[in-house]
Amino acid sequence: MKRSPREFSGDLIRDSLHRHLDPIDVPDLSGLASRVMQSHQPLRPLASPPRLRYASWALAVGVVAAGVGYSLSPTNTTPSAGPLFIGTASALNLAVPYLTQHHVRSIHVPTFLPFSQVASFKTAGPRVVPIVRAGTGPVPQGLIPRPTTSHTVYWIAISSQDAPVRVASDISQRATIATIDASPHPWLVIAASRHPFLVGGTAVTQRSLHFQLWNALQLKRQDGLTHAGSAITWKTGALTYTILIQDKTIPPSELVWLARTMTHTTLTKPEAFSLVYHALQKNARGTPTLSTWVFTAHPDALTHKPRYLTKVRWSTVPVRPIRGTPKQPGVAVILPEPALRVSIPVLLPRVWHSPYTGFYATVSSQFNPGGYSVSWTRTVAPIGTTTVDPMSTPFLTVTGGDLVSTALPSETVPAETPAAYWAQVDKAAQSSTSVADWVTLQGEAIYAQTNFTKSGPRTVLEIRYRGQLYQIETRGIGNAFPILLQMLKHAH
Amino acid sequence: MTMRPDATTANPYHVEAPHDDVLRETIDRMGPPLYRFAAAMLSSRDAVDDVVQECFVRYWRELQKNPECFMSPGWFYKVTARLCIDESRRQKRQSEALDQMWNLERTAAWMNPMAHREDLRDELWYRIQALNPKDRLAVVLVYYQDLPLKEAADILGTTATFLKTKLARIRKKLAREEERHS
Repeated sequence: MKRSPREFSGDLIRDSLHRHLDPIDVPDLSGLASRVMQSHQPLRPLASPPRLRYASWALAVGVVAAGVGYSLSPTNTTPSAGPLFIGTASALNLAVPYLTQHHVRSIHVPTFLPFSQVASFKTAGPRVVPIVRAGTGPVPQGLIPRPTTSHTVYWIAISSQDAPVRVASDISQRATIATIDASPHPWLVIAASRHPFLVGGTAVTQRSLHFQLWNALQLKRQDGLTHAGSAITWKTGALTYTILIQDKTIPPSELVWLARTMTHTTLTKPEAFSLVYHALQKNARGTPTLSTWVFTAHPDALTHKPRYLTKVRWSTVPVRPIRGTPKQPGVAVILPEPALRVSIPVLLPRVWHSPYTGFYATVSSQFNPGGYSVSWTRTVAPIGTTTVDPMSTPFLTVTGGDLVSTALPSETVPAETPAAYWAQVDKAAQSSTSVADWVTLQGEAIYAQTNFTKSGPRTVLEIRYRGQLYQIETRGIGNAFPILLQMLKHAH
Repeated sequence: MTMRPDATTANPYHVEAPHDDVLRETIDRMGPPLYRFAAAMLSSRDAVDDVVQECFVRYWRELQKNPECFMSPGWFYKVTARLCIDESRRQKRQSEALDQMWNLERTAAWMNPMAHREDLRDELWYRIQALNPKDRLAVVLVYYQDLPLKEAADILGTTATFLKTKLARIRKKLAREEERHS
């Protein structure tokens, strides 16, 4: 160790420091993240427009509704096995009003893979299990493919319990794409390419974004292949993104919504996502059994392609039998008309709440085609863990399609204002009788009914929107109209 | 997808906010070097734990404001450095006790002349610990963290030229201290 007569060398100092610091035993930091998050004081809420109590509910409804697709076509009389994106987007358009209003960047739409679920338990054969994302935060940037040569295509398809699951990434061969076309299973393709994946199309300008839409007749690729589907493309920088959906009946507005959703979300890395799936089944003895599936998809690091989902598998575990029935794990016989329920926890960012609370959303679809409902329950669990009984009573229920069994009565009197309606409700509250009347809201005719139940008043608004009948049911009496107003405002 | 069965609850799904993962990843990446950096500045393990945690708490606040923010390692060192200096001022009394300990060990070293040369690095370590917090910080940033002068100067709030001069002064001071006690 040479020593300068007047000063120490930097190397000596360096050596001394490393000698004493390198052997320091760094404690396990795995619990540090939790301590950091717990010790962090909540930020003051950002300045935002006056937020109504139901704001987050509707947001979560929309978030959830975006994630699950259900058939909403009134023309369906038998369950269809194809992708039915219409229901998802329609539900979302009606039920998610607050994304743009509150300018919260971290709120995300849970999925851009809106495979729908139409469960036909009457007939055998493959069924589609919806795959969704849940949670807060933007969509993984890595799930939007990067081009390799001319283009890269990424797609995911989920088959039913009886058919194998196929997930592929980085598809760039004509033969593979032809296989996709020929697949009996529904699919959605998302492509990012330096060259346009499709040609032609009708340009659509949506605010500051520019999309191109294709219908079934225009859908033609540069290499000559055609698809029987719907598509939308947009350009971001040097890349052209294409969403290609098998269903050719997707209306342009739904495609635009999907494209807008994708363009408004960013992430730094791909994330895992999960789906909780409940089904009421009957075992071999005819005993009803509630089964719960949990599907979780993780970026597959084994293939050194963490940006792509390349591994998907699932299994089922019966969770609890109906009271009084013997447990029969692993045995399931499908009930002829089960209530298929998909439960997805949705959490909102800290800027909305303090402490961080979550919302538990449930999307249900009876196997009868054309119907769906979205119900919503708020949790009080802290961020990081959401364990909520999916059967708990929801705050808000949006029902549409064929599931709405009541028909709107004829409007025989001039519609009232919401204030006049509530005046009626206040009077009726004293005698706990129901109130029903037509109300005009922002030019829309709405049929409102408020019932005073043992658990409190519940208000149902019925409105015909895009040819479909919707019901919005809320607890209390003060939430329904503002909720619907926001839904309509952002649905257009 | 992997199945996560949970027969105890009806909803076995757990959700975390995505920037939780960013925080965890950052802790995995920056935690150990920050820990050792703080250990170079402080003499108490508890104080080091507190400082490192506080640094990540501040990072977490930034992440809450902007989930897409990226903080360079220099940002972490800067925050940790300031926290260490504040903590050092509160631990001045403990530093004095460390000097007393050093004196006892020096006495022991004299009893073994052959150990003197090998322990020069040890002597130097204690001399570095006896520096005032800002000088010690400069030494640790440059000679342990191996930060470029410019980056270290930025953390210290000074210029690279001034830092270079300062380090030369510190090296001479350490040598004088060692000569005085040898």
